[in-house]
Amino acid sequence: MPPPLTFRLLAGCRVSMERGIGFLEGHSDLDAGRAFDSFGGADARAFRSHMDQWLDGANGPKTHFHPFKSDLDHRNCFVFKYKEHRLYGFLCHPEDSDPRFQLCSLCIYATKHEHNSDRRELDRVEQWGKSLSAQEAISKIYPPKLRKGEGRTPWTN
Amino acid sequence: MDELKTTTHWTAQSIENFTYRVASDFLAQVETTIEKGEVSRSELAHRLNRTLGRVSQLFNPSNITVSSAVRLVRAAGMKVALVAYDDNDAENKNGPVNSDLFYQCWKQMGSPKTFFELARTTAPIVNFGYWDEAATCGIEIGRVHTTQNSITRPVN
Repeated sequence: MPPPLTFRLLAGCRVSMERGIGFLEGHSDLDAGRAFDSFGGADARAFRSHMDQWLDGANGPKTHFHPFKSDLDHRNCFVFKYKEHRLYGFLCHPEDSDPRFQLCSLCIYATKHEHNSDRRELDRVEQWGKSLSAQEAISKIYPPKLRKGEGRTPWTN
Repeated sequence: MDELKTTTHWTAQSIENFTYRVASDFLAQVETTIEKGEVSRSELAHRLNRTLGRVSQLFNPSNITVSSAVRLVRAAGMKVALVAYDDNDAENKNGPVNSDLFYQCWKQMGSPKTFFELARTTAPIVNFGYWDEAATCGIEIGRVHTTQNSITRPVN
């Protein structure tokens, strides 16, 4: 049985009541956290800056990060960008008490030299976003509220 | 980047980090202007008399100086200000305030160009009128300072 996935919140950033960022880890396919940790110098600063901007509530510029709202198959996907580096993840709303809270769960690292994102990478991110193991990992950080007489209710994207 | 796996904000780790973040926020404002279609990169290159490649280098936060920032925004038809502020976060636990936030607030205030314009925007409304007692205790005219100004005044 594979070890359960884990979710690690981004450290060293402003704590926001509206948005959060973290890394889904525990599988060889989930390499966004490893890639982010290995960044140094300008790469690390650029991603940190772009993440800060999103956490602060900015919705652009698209050269820094963007969702894929117009792509119905990948509308929960999200990407942070710097040069050829891409950190792909999915957006979800894990807070029962505040359904507006947005969490960006980063999953996959890729390098890209073409204009359009590789749909296979987005497909993988979507699959991770829908997986129960990912939901369970995130639920450990954002535990769902138990209602009387009810079991745990999974969060939805 | 082990030093960034801490509870303090990553820009508190070094001046270089803080500088990079400030430059990145500034360049995000210019890039947003480009994305809105107000100016293109090729138009910027033309106005700056530089190649597209050289203009792209200007969008690297590591390369930004005050002089290059001014050149860039002037070519984009904008202006730039260096703003010092105190957000009660001397230890920088929360990182810098996004420069676009200052711009949005300035626009919300009616884009004042001088301290006089700012004072006119924020000065409390002063009403001259009769006190309630005027009808029974003789006429007394007084200044009634309300707590409402152009920001807090309810919109009709």
